[in-house]
Amino acid sequence: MVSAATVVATLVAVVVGLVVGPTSIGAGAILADLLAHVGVGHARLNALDGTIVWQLRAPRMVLGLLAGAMLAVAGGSYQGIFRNPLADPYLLGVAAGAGLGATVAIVHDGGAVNVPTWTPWLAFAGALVAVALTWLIGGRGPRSTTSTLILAGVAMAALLTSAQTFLLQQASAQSLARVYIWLLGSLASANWSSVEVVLPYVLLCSLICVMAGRALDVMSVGEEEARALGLSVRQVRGVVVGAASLGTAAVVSVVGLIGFVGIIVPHIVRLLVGTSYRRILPLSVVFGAAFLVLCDTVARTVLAPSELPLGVVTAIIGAPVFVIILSLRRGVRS
Amino acid sequence: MKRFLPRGLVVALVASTWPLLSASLAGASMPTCIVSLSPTATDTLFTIGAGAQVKAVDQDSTVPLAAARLARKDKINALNPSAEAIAALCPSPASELVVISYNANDIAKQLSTLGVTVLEQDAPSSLSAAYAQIRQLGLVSGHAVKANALAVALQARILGYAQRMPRHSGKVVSVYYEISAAPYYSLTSSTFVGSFMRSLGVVNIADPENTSADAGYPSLNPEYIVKANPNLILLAGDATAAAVKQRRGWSSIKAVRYGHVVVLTANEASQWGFLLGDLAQRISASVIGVINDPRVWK
Repeated sequence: MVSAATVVATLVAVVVGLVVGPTSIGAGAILADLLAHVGVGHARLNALDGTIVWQLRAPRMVLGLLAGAMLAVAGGSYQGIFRNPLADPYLLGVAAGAGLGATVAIVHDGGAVNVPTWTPWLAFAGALVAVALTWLIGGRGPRSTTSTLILAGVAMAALLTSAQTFLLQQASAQSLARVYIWLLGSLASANWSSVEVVLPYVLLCSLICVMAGRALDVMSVGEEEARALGLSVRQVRGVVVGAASLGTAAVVSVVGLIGFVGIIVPHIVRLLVGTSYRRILPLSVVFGAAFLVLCDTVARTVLAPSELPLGVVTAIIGAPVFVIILSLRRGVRS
Repeated sequence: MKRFLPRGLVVALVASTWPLLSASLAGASMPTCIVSLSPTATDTLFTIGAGAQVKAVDQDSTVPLAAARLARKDKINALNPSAEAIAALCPSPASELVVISYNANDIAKQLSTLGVTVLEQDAPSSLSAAYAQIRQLGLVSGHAVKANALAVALQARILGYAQRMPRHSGKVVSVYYEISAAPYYSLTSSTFVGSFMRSLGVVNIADPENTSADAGYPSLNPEYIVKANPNLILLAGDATAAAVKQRRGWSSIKAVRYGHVVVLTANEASQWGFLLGDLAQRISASVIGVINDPRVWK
């Protein structure tokens, strides 16, 4: 029942992502145009509307699906690995590393009219270096535990954030505004190239996370108990943290820092289907994708011809939805 | 409708490419719908007679009054614009020109995909680049003659201020130009305003603090500013002369002590088009005021 509902939600998000926008284009015409692309019937969109739908809205919607799916499943995986309900995909320094990388790129180019083209690559590298350093400090050796890894992540995030603050203090006011916009996250500059960049990372990494659901269920009883049951805890931890971090780094480098998805979506799914990660993780993929596309639809339409930062919308929509579901669950239990 | 530029052309213009661009645009027809996401371009467009073609502007375009009315209507945030919605502001992409000073959300590429012509004009690094931008706007909007006349007049006006500046041996005016306070952002001689101040023969206290990362707009330590003891302070941010006097230690600065703290209007301080003449006039008058104040040179 819940699975069917999330799939329906995703379909609704896809339709809304393509149909709703500042320009009024009918759903029927879009559907006819889509069918014409596969050789059925005739295209009903004129050239301009076709460009708007297939070159602006469609890549943005697909990138939203990929980013939402990855952030949600990464958040759920982190919560399982660290057995901490407050864990999110940025726990091990991905956000701080990506933020520092993007800041270096933007500040280096100072007052340039364009955001430097190498910003995503530097953000990606920054995120991976941050997680690698966190792992080297807190995840290696026989005495390493999830706690040492979390503490290393906190320390690394603090260090990289302070480096970013130092750079911003040296930068011009113009660069400050640009870094700030990047930090708030957006799908506005999405195109098919950015989808191609992110797609393999999201497919591979989310698949690994979903497949780790059974192991995470075993680990939920405790690391010692999981070892006693024959599970290689360190190996699982390494694979899941690596996959979740790599996927998150790829997404963040393209869309910026979109908060709340990675923490709120797994919790909403958990409230709906229970505590088994075998169900939480695949449903987080679907629900996260739908959630982000719907939030982005609000972000790009509510203030048109301007846009709202996507991170603001995810928080404004996500928090009340979470509270409502939590209240309903309490009502059912009592 | 006849197109005025090749489809999808994004024109990133700088002074050095001007002759090339002039040749490529020769014979092109006028855009009938202009959207300006740059306050400087907005002011210039209205000044050169292209106001009737301007259909929408960003929320910071408050000069002239006709532009301010448009700004209130659409409330476009140039730092976070929607390409689809910007394109929809005009009846046809073929007749639309969008002027931007910052390529937020990769809007230049997205509008270009939709067949809209985009002109990118970021903050110039010199006065000659600022004049070139006025001529560019004239060319792409179909008001080249008027724009050229404006650029020539502006250039002559600004040059006149520098030439009329009294030169007294031993009276070198040191200036602190404040863009914002806490942190204290200033500008160096590598910017278009800084290059004008240099032409007046003043010393800019921010010049030694220039780094590659700040693009000519460094942040200064307040202790450094107090120690530099400028004769003249130009306030381009929100601060007032009274507020500057209240800052700890600043009352010892000559500019504060002798009342040479000048507040610039937001438009004067942030635009590099027609209003540059007014800014040059304010700065040169302020510098002359310091030179003629015997208390400063005691």
